[in-house]
Amino acid sequence: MGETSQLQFKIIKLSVVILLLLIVVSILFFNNPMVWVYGYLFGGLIGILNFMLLARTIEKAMKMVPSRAQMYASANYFIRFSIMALVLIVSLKADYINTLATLIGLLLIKFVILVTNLFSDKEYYKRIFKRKEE
Amino acid sequence: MEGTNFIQTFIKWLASFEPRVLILAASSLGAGLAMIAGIGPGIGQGYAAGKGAEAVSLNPKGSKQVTMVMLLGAAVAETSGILALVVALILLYGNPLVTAQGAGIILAASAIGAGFSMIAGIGPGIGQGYAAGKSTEAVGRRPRLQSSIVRTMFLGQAVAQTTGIYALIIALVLMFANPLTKLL
Repeated sequence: MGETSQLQFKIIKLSVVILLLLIVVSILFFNNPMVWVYGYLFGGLIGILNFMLLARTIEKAMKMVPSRAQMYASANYFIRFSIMALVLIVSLKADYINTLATLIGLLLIKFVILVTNLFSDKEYYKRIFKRKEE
Repeated sequence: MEGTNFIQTFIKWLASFEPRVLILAASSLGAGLAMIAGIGPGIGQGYAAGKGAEAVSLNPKGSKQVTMVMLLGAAVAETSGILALVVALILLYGNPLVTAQGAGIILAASAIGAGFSMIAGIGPGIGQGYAAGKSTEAVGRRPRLQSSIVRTMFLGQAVAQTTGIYALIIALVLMFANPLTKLL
């Protein structure tokens, strides 16, 4: 972890908390909880690792010439894309992993990023509806 | 009239196959079409990285802030790629149309349609990457306004994602609850 280590830690910590909550909910309310638990764990952990890989890619890309950074980031995106394809194929093929839970786990990081940044400041929304003359 | 003859010949030729064969062939086409959406986030993230590198070169002191904005923006820009991947893989490995009841040609067309609809994912991918790129540029210029810029970027990205989600909904309806098969 480099320049963005604190930010990564904050997002990963929140994702793990939500992941644990989802696991507890599935254990308490679902008939066959282990299928969901494996799905959440598998998808969630790969999602977190993918996010860390993205952070490494970006930290490296920022030190490059713009045209090279563009190529590097795009190429690395397709590597991460292939990893995700592999994870989804495994979850679709394996009966003991729920695909929906895997997908939720994979998208959890994106959800956490959006929610923590969009709804963190109520003043921002107040300003949107405030008239300039006031 | 020649055009009509060609269409009739083509439909007759399609009808000469077993419905299951048609559905499987169409699913392969649909999966391939859905994957076209993967281009979007690739272009978007590349653009954002290019803009980020530019911003860092203009303002090396703001490097940390630029990298943080870029990381958050790029992570969200990937979403439509994952959604397209899910539809393509469902068509290949968990295709509900293979066992569905109804006319083979409609089910086959549904598989192609599901793939086609996911091409819409290119838009959010490029758009979100563009938003991330412009935000890194803005943070490079005015690092003090980082939190406002990031929030505006996410608001834009969340709105941009909606068309991708609509496409996903249509693809899932075509695969799992196609209303057209009940009209026959």
